[in-house]
Amino acid sequence: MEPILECRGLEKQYGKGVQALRGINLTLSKGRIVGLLGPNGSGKSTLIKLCNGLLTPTAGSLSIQGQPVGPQTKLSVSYLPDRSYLNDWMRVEELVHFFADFYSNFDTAKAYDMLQRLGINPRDRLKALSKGNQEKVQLILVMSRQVPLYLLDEPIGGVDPAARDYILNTILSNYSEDSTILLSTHLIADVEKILDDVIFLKQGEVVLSSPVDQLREEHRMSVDALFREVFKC
Amino acid sequence: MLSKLLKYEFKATGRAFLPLYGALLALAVINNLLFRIDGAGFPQTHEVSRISTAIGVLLYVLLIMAIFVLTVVVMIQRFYKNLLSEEGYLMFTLPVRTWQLISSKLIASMVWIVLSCAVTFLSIFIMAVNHGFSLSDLPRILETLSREIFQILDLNMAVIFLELFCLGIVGIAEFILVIYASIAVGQLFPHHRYLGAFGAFLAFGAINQVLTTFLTISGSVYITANEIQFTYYAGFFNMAFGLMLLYSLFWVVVCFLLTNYILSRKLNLA
Repeated sequence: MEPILECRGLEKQYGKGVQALRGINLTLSKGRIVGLLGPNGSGKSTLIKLCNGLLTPTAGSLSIQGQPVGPQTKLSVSYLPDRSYLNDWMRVEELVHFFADFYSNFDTAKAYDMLQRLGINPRDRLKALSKGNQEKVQLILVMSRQVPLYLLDEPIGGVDPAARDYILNTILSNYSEDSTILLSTHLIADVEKILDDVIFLKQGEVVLSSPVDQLREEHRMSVDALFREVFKC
Repeated sequence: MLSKLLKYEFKATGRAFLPLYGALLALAVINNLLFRIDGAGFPQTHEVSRISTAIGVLLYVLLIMAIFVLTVVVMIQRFYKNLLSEEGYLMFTLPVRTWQLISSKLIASMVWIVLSCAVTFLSIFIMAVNHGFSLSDLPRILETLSREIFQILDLNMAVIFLELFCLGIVGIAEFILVIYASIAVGQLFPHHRYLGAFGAFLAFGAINQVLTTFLTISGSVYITANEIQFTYYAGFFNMAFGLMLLYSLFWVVVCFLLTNYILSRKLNLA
């Protein structure tokens, strides 16, 4: 089966000296929820940005559905960045329209449905919303696309535990069986129950990549506990 | 996809320009009326009308300056903020090609510069109407211009105006693209983006100076050495316009390709 995402010897160096990623070899297959786990500064965001073409690799190759990153792969990837990236003067409904205009795989009805369930008024301007609601709008837009690969960078980083559950449920209920989700976070306990696979990233290197079940069997501990052991300071 | 990008580009920039254009045209109408009151010379309103006319003219000049500053600021800001800061995370993950992103910014900026000039001229006409000027004078002015200058020099006014227009449009594109290319070059220095952009802008200016000096001198030497005579002014003008147009086009192409190369092959968003 063709992998959805494949990295071979992927390296990223920022300026002189700062090596964010070194020799990453990774293969993600279809229909998996993969946790990209690691402490701050381990290269999680760098890897995700490389997959989106927002950064250029220093060395190595990266392909999505067998293709190098480009307009075609951008249509098949739905990306949630770790920051606010929407024009905040636009109304929520204008943003929905923007996404529908550019992404042929965007489901407008689904987006409005989720907005309504979260009590967000589509007529509001983005900057009039609270920070938490702005993040939810961003997540709704990203999850309203039907794509083979979702790349979610810290989707639960800045929200309270109640909202965390809602967001995870949104993610779970809005992706199809064939899709793959790569989700980066350091809040492992919260996401552990939904993950199929985990990748541990430490100082720009993959130190562990394995299905969660196998991990639990081998080490006889939860992913959270294992993480604390691997990344002990 | 380019048309969709353009649609959103105009939507994002129009919010800044259209109110100012409206204000300028409205102020031109008000000034026209103020001139009338002032010109009527009622003794009892004399001082007041003098002051209000002066304020009206002052506001008008400030507004024109504001429009042109805004035109340049929006041009730079839309490129830098929308493509190379947080909003770039959205724009560069759209299923579009980099040249389409650059083109949409370029075309929108060109349209706003041309419109800013057009609205300014229109406002001058509005102010001048019925103060020794009416729109019906326009054909007569053009006719006089043609007779007194162009016919004596044996030049076709329409052709010269067309050439000037083309040169203006390409010149605007060159101006914008040199700035885009400078900002793009700045991105190659992740720790000194602004400094890099500024340095690149100065470097482009220096290269431009050297090139124009070299081309002008070698051109004159060529003309003198080959004893080329221009029997018609038209021949000289057409050649000069043609060469300037080619030179500007050269910069347009180089800067566009450079910007496109950096943003598609060397992109590193902070």
